Amino acid sequence: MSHEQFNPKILGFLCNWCCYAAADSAGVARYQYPPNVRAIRVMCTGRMDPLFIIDAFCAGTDGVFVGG
Amino acid sequence: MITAELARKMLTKIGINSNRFALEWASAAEAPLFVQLITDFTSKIKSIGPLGEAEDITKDELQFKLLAARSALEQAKLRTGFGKLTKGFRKDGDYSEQTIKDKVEEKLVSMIATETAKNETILRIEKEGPISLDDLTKKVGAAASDIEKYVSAFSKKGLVTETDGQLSITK
Repeated sequence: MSHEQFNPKILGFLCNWCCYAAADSAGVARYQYPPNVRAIRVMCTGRMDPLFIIDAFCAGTDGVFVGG
Repeated sequence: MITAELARKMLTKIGINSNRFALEWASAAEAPLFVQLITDFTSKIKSIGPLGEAEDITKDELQFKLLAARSALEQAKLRTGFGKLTKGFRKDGDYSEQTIKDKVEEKLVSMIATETAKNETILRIEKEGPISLDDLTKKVGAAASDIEKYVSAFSKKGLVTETDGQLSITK
């Protein structure tokens, strides 16, 4: 599989008050961005646990993005 | 940030490129910045390649390592170590990137290594047993003396039994 065709699965943990809202307004403003990120909303980035990140890789994601 | 550093160290330990994990900030008013961050991160992951394939680890091997890391992170030892470390940060009030890196390196890295190896040992005995001590050492990739220590601790607890040099989980 060449890297051009490779569509990575990315898991995004987004903080309710910051990045999640930013993602929301990016959608409203119709900015274009890659559709690879699957968003999970956390109420605060402080909720993040190293376990979540390992679990994400266990489930086969290619990258984890945490947005505070 | 300390959590992120711990996660990065854990990924490095199990042989995953730690660039697959990113921690970034964008406020609610910064939609263009968010778009930029996501675009950059996606292209970075694209250039790294698929999980496992890029690291040259087979899926099964990777799953073993990840499960071992998972149970190591679940258990009290690493979590208390982590808790103690963050307490020290609260006292000193120094959260610079370099300090975090140094402190995690100093306090947690060896603990990560032992805990992960220990969990991988029991996991492999469970899934691949009966297995000899030599094979176990080769697969886990830690020092033979360490593996021996973990195995004897497990047998003392009655978790592992040895018959003719082959280790298996106590039924």
